[in-house]
Amino acid sequence: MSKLQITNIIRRLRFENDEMTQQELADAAGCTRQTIAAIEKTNYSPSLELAVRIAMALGKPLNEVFIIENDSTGVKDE
Amino acid sequence: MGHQERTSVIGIVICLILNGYVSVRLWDLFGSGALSGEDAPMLWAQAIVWVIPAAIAMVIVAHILFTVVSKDRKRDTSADERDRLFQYRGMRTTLIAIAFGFIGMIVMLAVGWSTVASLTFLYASAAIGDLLGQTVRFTSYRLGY
Repeated sequence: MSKLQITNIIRRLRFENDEMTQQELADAAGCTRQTIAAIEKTNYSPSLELAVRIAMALGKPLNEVFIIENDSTGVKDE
Repeated sequence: MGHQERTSVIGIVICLILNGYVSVRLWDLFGSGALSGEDAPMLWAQAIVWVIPAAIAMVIVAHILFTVVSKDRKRDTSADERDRLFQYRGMRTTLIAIAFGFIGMIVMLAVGWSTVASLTFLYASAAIGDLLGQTVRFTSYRLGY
């Protein structure tokens, strides 16, 4: 099974949320600013809990924040 | 540079300073023949035992100096999951090095090397392991993953 390429639109959603800074998002999600920066650059994959916290802080569902780029798993949406 | 990343830099610097001094001290002791007699293990331990409290004191002083120089009073010292991941990577590297050192020490004793030489090998493995572990941690922060 090939590895999933997961990207995110956190940076865009931050700006849409009253130009929220990385530090503000980090404080809301309970992590450091450096971690938010690494996630935005897709250098780091957050745990499920942190991903959910980030989505909640941005006021969006998880699947609208984190997007699968190459869905080659064969799992069909029904 | 975040607090956790700074901690890894401090760890590297202190490791080099302390173990550099210990190396010179042990070299002198070996050269003078002081580590050949019956008291050799005790003399060796006396040359090493102060390293742990010295390392702790140096870390505290280094953090205080960083805070004073950078005037960063609101520094966040908490560690999140990414920090813990990098700490784990560094610790794993250190423990692997110590494990090799322990095995090497056993082998050296088995083939007839002196107790002090074997203990020195173990200590060197731990020191190199600590340096490598801190370097792995720092590199993880620099690369971002």
